[in-house]
Amino acid sequence: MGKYIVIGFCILLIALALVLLVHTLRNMAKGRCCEGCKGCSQRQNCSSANGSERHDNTK
Amino acid sequence: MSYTIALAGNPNCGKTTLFNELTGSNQYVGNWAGVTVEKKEGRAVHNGVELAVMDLPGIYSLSPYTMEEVCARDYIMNDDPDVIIDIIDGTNIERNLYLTIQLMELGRPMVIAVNMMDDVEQKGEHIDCKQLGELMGVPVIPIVARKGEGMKELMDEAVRIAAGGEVQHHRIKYDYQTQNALNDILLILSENEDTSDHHIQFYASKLLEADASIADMLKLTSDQRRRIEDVIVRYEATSRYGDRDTMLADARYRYITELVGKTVVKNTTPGFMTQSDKIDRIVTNRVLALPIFLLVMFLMFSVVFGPVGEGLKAAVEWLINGQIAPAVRHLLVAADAPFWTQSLIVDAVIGGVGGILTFLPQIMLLFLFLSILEDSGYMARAAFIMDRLLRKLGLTGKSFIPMLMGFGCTTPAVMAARTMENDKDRKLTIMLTPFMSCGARLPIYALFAGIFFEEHQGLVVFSMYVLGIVVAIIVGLILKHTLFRGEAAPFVMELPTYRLPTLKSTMLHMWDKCKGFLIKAGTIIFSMSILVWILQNFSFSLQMVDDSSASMFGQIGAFIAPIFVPLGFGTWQASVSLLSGVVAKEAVVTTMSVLYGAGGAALQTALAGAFTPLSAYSFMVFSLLYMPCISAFVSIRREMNSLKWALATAAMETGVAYVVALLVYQIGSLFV
Repeated sequence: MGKYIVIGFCILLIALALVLLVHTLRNMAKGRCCEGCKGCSQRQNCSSANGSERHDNTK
Repeated sequence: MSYTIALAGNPNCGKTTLFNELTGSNQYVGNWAGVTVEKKEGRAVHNGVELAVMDLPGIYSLSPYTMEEVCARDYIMNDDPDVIIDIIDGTNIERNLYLTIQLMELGRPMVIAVNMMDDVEQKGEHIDCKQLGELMGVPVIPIVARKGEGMKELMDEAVRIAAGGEVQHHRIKYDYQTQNALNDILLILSENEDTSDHHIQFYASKLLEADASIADMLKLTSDQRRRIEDVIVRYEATSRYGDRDTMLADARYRYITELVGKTVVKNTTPGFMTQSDKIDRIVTNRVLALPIFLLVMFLMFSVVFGPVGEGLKAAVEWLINGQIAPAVRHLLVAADAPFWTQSLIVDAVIGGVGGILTFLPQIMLLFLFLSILEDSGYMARAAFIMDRLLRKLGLTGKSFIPMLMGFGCTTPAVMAARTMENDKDRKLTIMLTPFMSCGARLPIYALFAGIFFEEHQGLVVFSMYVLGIVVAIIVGLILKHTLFRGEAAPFVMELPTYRLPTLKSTMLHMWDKCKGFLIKAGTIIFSMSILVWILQNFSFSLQMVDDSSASMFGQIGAFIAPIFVPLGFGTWQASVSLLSGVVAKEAVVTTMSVLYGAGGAALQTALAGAFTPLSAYSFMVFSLLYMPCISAFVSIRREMNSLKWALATAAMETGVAYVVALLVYQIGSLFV
């Protein structure tokens, strides 16, 4: 039983890795860094960065 | 009740520090200009009142010359915040007040926060904030944002004004000619503008500066434009400057001088120097500056790759390769899992991702030092020091700022070149920036230096960083005298005051970088590990192979490998590792870990058999200089607005990498 769980897990792992690879490469092909945009000094200049940052200190 | 507060001010005056203090945010605060290049929104509560706080980019004026100025100006004019907190660097009050006057012209309710009052005192100066406020018709509160001093008073005042507790009458006193010209323009504007519009004074002064965007925005008729032009011509005729921009700037500065003369007591002690001045006398000294810069870098690498860094790395290695990997393998064997699943989980996932994670302590240490250098204000001096050297070579020191950023990541560094006005200098800088050793290359150096140059790891890694700078200068010189002929643009940079980095800011900066590294390990490195494992275990006919040299990777590597024979590393494993490095530089190490099916000591033994110290150094040189990763390449293409230029850059860099590595190996072979 354990053997089949491991095989299933490995297949899932491979699928996940391939999906992640395609997703990351697609982002990189747009010039987006793998590390994400937070803390990057060039967010405004970077046309591939999206979204605005919001910080809540009301709670 | 809820109010909107906008934080405006010059670059590096402490807006982001104030924003963090108010909103509890952890935005990165740097000790050099231009950290905030977009507006950020945060929420806070003060005395039960909800506040939306906008952190605007640092600007010197409200003229739409730069993207930051456009962003700040548009927000203030269009979104009408309930109150503007104008943050002023007390140590540079004259220059900071220039923006203040323009903000006052906008007629919005505002509070002035004079920041860095501790530095003002240290300079032996005194600012009478109360009197300054009375003269300008705006409340002025002294603060030290870094220590949270004066914050309560500032916010009390801001909330009171936002709530409409006071109708402000801003007092701007221009000379007779300027005021006259402004009145004439106001008269023309009153024909179709509501004179109670609080922006009207601002429109008038912008029209006096001949700001065409305002004329368009107000939909002025051609007759009105002609009459305004007549006013300007008459205005210009009253001064020997004869230039509207200069005259209005002069009028503002005359008012500022008058204000400062009445409210600021300057330290007039002969020969008095601030701490920053004293440090700069040594650090930016004509003779000592460069050796000190190199010494600082060398010391940094000595610590990162010295006993401290090595000890931490060994601890992570012990955890991953000594504990986790054997335990997982044991579990898989106990579950009677097929061998390929053991290989996938242990060799690919734990070996590949873990192989990279072992370098996390050294990367953390490196970024800790870089953030200390940056936060203290030394990195800004490094650009200044390099400018002196680069200008002698016909290059501009402005190039060095993106290059310094390139020590972190090439992609944003390439974008940072966008601020360079001279197109030739900008293109040249973009082409040179990838030569700077980005953080992603560090695991490659750490791996090879740790195996082949155990005693001198710090020195070897330091040599990589210096080599990157030297190659960039040499290639820059060649390009400057061939493709990009022309005078280098002058470089003006504000040197920030030296500051003791705060623990919070340093840790925050380091954490941002480390988080980026961990994200990368969990995404592209993880997926590359599995891809490499597949390519190493399957042939082109998708049959699983026992001998990895018959695999897809083995065959591709064998095809490329002869190219690298003259460089000393003509194995298929080295070749495909470099190939995967095009996706992400860390993938070079991941690929080696997966290909050799080993981590830690076993990988070291495998590599010690495949490389000599000389070929390892040659491999490090090639890794340093060859084409950057995909995202950097795309950002080069976008910034150059040409695929041809981007391909030429990548080809040039790979060619340079080949030639330099070849020289290192062939010349080195004569001696070793």
